[in-house]
Amino acid sequence: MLESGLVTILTADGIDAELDEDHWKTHIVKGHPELTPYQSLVIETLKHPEGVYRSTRDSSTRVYARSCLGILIGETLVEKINLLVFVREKNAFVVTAFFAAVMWRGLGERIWPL
Amino acid sequence: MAFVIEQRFEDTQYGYDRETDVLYISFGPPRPAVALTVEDWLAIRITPSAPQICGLTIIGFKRIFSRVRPDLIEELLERIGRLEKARFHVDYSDETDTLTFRFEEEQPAYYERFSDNIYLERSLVGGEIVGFKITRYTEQGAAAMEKLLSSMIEALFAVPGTVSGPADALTRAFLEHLDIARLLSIAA
Repeated sequence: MLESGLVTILTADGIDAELDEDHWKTHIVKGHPELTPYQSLVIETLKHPEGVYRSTRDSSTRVYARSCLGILIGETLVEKINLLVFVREKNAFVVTAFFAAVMWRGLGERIWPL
Repeated sequence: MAFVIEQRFEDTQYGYDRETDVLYISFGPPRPAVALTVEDWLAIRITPSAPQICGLTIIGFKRIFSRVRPDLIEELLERIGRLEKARFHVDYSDETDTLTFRFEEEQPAYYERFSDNIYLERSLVGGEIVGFKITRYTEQGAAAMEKLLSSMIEALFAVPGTVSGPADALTRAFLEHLDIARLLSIAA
């Protein structure tokens, strides 16, 4: 868990992303409870993604993607799944995150690595 | 493997994160799930153990819906509570290798070809779209689902009047089962 109310994470593409503890609890994990034990993976995805994308319909949002192994979703162990973390460029705020099993139509324009 | 999924949406919960413009919709209390993303902004949440749609997450909800074709939204504002009455029935048959998806009660209907192995189901009375079916599902089901969803996403953001009839009708049929007025009021 976050030790203080706000953690700043230097992302692979050079943004100081902000993950707020209160926002993590009241929105991200409340809506996506499977993320509860995986906050460190969210931070790791921001630091070391496999790709960073500009959102298809909202150019002010960046999507950090990384494949993860052995993830427990409820009582189901998923061998391999992608973690997507969304960051708004304007304030570098971590918007939300989730595990994506299928990605129809891709993730928009890749902006890192170029 | 044959399967039937019957789902209703009576206990729909909404959470709107005003600070980040993210809308969380949960069918029942939020549960651990994986996402099927349709582009990056729309996540359909599925429970992995016994496959059920347990929610939707829309990232940039107000921004996205401000760019959706206005003619699709304006007609829906009076349709309060449609989602609570909606039901999804998904049925896969081994014998015919066909997936049937309905969001209305079964009724006298006919099929209209959407593309190679995708057929829209229209009610005999009124001609409304009540579902669709995908044939040759084992080999071509995933591609067919992608084609259907892509058609609907493109219809959402297209210039009015430029979308093919079946894609437009299917998009309207799905939107009619969302309580758009309520969603917009939550995000207002």
